[in-house]
Amino acid sequence: MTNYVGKRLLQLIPILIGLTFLVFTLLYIAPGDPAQRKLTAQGVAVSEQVLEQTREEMGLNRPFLVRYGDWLLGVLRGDFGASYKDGMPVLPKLMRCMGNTLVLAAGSLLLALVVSVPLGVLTAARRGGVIDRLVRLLTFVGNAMPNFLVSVLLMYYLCIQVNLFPVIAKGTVQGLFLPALALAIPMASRFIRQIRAEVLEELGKPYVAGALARGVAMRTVLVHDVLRNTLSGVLTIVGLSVGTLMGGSVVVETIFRWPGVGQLVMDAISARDFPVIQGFVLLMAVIYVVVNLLTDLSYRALDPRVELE
Amino acid sequence: MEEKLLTVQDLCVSYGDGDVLSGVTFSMRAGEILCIAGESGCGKSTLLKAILGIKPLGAVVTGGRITFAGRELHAPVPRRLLGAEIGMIFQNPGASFNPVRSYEKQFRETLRSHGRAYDAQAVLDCLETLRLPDGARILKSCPYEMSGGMNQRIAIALAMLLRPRLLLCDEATGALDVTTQKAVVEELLRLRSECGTAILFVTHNLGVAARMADTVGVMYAGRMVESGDAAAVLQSPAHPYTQSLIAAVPDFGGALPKGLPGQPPLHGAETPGCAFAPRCPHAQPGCGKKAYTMRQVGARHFACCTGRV
Repeated sequence: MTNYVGKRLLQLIPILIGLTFLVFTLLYIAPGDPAQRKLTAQGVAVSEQVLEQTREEMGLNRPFLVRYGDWLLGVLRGDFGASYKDGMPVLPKLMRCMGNTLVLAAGSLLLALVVSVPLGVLTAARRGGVIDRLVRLLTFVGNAMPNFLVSVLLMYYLCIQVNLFPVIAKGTVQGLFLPALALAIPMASRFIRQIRAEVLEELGKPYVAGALARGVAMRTVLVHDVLRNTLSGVLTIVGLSVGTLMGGSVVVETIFRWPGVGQLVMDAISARDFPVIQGFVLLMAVIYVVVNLLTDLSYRALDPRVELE
Repeated sequence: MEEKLLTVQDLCVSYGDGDVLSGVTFSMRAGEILCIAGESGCGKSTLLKAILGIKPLGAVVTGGRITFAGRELHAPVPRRLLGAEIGMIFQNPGASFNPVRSYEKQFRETLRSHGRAYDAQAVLDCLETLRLPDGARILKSCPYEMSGGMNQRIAIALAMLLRPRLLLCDEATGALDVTTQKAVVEELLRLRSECGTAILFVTHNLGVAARMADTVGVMYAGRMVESGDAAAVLQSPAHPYTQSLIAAVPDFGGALPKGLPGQPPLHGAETPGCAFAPRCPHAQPGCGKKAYTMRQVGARHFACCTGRV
């Protein structure tokens, strides 16, 4: 096991290097002159002379690979550069907001799982029944609705019409609920369908009939065997959802003014604050890769039949 | 009249399209061993599934009656009967256990489902008699770690531990070597003599039938074509199908047995008359049209045809 983890960690290195290259290249080819952006962001009047001087200071006149190498070395030391807007270092800036984003992501994931695990099992066990059909209709709708639409609808009905929640979340516990819900609804819709399908597949296996023939109650079989055996499938979709969740949080945080990295990066994008965008994309990519690794490792922990090579 | 433990009357069973069993009738006394023989697809296993009445097995009773210990059985059969009163050993008994859960947990769960205590020594003793001496290690293992033959014996052990009044066995010795097969047969016979368990044993192994059976039933295309005392049926078979089935048993002479020409029908009998007529060496032009009835051909020996018209 330790060997396997070590090997997988080593494999991460080329992936991460590739990532940094992609992130850097994408912003390199993006339109816009960083020097001009930086000066505009700081409110300095731009003359050609100042612009040229700034380009020189920022090292923009050096060749592409030199600039990439320079940036990469900085990243390895934890130096992601400084924001054009306020000159603050990018990493601490991101980290300050990261906590809020993680709270939001964890909250919505928890919300989605608490709803979808019981409903997924229930709809499978009562396949074709009223509950099954109703839930499937709802998940169909929930699946089809983009995050921003869910957010605006929730905000309209629960903040403006009923006035249950604050419109601006601000990072309070009370403010957390709605953005978490907005992220959880489409996610739970996908989870329920997936869990239902997995449970149905499991229910068709001969051991279910075997346990029933021995007089074990269906409820016991569902909880002790079926649910346990579908856990790795559930973890897979949770792992895969992290990417969607990170992307979705950008939209939802902006709508609810939740002070997370999503909101920070939206502001950075409108201001063409390249170092912040680069730092954000890299951070999200690393989180995604690490979560996928953890998901892979969890298979082994959950199912002893999975061989590690 | 003697009290019957199990009575099956005019049973018709379907998997959704067309009856697989049509009008099967037989009965068993307490402690009786009835072996049902026939080719694959004749409906032997379906008969057992219909008695269990468990939804995932798919067999639906479309006509007739099953009476167990004086009470009519309907699907779903009460949970307290399954396992404890009516035991079942599946054709692939290893698959009737959750492959990734330890045997000990599954044994405990089954016994607890019937309010019985888990007596570790009794479990080990039972495994020992089935030539599984390393019981403690087996109970800690999961089914996926065991060989097919071991899983089969473990499943038989659990079915026996519950000491049912009726044990249904679907090719219970199929995957075992001859020595182990002998041990299993002996244990089943001992279970009968100690607990008075009646055994309904479905097999195509006529040798096992001859060794165990008090009575033998022969099925063809979803119908019982011959039944009676084991000695009568096996030594002086009346029905042409039984005769050819017995002629097809290989002996040590080295000569290959005479196979039966043709194929059995895929579904149950579709004509009112004899479904075996197309393959029968004694067939007459009218055979396919005559109504199916069982006639007495000897003392406690019945057949629907004797090959003489």
